[in-house]
Amino acid sequence: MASALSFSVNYSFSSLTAISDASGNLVESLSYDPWGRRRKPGNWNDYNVTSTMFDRGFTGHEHLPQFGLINMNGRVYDPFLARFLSPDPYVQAPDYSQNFNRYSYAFNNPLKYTDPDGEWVHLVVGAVIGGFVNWAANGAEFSAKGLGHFGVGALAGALGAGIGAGFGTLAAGSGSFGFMVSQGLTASGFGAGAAAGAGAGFSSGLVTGAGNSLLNGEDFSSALSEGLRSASIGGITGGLTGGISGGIRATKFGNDFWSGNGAGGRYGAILSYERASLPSNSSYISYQCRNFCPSKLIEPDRYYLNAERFVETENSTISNFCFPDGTDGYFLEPSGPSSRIEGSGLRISSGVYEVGSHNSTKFPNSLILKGVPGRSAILMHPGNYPCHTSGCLLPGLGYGTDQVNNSRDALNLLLELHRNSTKMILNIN
Amino acid sequence: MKLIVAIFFHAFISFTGNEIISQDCSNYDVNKLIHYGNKIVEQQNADSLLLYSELFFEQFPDNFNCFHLYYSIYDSGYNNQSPIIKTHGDLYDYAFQHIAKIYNNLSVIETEKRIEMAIQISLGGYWEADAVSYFQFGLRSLLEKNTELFLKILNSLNQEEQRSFWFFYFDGPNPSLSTPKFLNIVKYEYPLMFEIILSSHQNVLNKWKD
Repeated sequence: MASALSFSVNYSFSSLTAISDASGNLVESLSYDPWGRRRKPGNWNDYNVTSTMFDRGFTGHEHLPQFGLINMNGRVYDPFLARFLSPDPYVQAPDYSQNFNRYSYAFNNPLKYTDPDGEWVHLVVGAVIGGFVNWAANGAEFSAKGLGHFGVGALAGALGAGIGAGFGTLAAGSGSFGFMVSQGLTASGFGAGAAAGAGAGFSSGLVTGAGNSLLNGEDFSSALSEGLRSASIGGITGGLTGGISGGIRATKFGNDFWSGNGAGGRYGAILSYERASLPSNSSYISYQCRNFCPSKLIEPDRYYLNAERFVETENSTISNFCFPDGTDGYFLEPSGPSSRIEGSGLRISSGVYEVGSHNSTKFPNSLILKGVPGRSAILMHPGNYPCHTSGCLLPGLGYGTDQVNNSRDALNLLLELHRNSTKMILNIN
Repeated sequence: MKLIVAIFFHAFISFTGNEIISQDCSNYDVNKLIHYGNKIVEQQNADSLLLYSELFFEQFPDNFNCFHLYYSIYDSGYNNQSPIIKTHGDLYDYAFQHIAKIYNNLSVIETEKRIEMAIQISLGGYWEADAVSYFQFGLRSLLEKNTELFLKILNSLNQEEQRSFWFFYFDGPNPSLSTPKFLNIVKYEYPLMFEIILSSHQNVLNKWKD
């Protein structure tokens, strides 16, 4: 932190791009590639940015330079992989294929959208576009009434986006820009596209129709009647455009126009698209474990371990992660709640931790988690039952109630991965 | 080949002073154990379950050396330069099924026989993850459920054997700072053994202290 008063300049999606002193003199310049990776402002090919004055940066979020990650509040994001470390808990736009990649950032289109908290970009985008469209369609007045039209449109846009059809559905609902729905690309065929488009169009049409009527001084029953009329138009328009775009998209991936089924397969098409959209200068392999394990990415010299806690008893917590060959691995930890108190005997806090090697008399060949809040010597060491840990992670290849098995094999695999990577990171949730 | 490597490993460990006694383990038939184990898992009927349980019990290694030799894993240790060389015991892949699922639950076998064998396996033993850990888990449960009989049989052992047993009983990472309450009975009925328990427990705490 600078000792004197500093001013930040935000530019382009609220990213921090310059810092000045009180006199307006430039103190530091910052730059990011489209996916948020820090680079030198004078040479966009040089990513070797070692330190900056502030930890805030891309879209105003907190950078974690020791891990090469960005804390987006709801989730942690890796700008190098252009992926979040955990999936988005919501699929906001089921008629938009990009949204099915729940690890991608802002519909995989960072030049157009941002993801303020890792989860609800669609609501903001839907509200802004909906508000603007409705304001423009009702005279574009700079008055209280105009503001009201903007508010109604914003509400309808957010609602439409929230129920799953994205920002384009508001236009369908108003009947003015119905064809925009076709931008909601999908491989799901006419049927699914029509259903999603009709549902979103109906709901946003109802809100805009009724809301605009009330603003124009009509009584409640008239407003309701107008809302239903707009909803019908929105539903039909959204259904048709959504269905057609879904069918065209399905055909493009070699599937049936009406059902979306076919040789390509819905998810096959999406996965192909996902792979194609990855940065071209690196090699990545995508894995999906059998059970609870989230999909993850691995590259040769950096290994990301995404462990998801899925079983909790009064004695233990068990989480699931992936090995590179696609088999499941498990960690047994003490029971919750998570604790930052040394000696509590409870499990550690959820978070992102760098993993290092560890050698001691007690555990000669083990791994250690670095920077665990409030806790020290949190290891990954062999063990099978809750009595073997007071905070450490016991790896295993199988699990049962309050136990993991084949723990030494699991640890040996983890040691091998650690040995073959320059950096190993555990993200445990 | 794996067995030969494992025997050499044990010979080396014995030479370096760990308390493993070199014993002949060739009289245990691995294939029979696998076969009997599979039959028990199939659970066709009560008669066959009893038969195969008895056969399994008779064939199961009755000392720590052989138990460890067949069910455990030996590795060369981890370092940053070379990969880990692992040698699995012949029954390594069956450890969880044979020990956690079958051996620890052989209720059809007379309790006294089970206790005697469990004590025999425990002598000279030390904690290790997986096979040994599964066995120790069952041993603790057996002792807690049959405390009086267990203590009576233990009392017939000499002091060194008792010391060895109790060390194995308590051994393991993150040991409890106190002995279990159900062992308080020993203080009055077998005061000499109670001293051994306290001393063994302290040895374990010393082994695992930071």
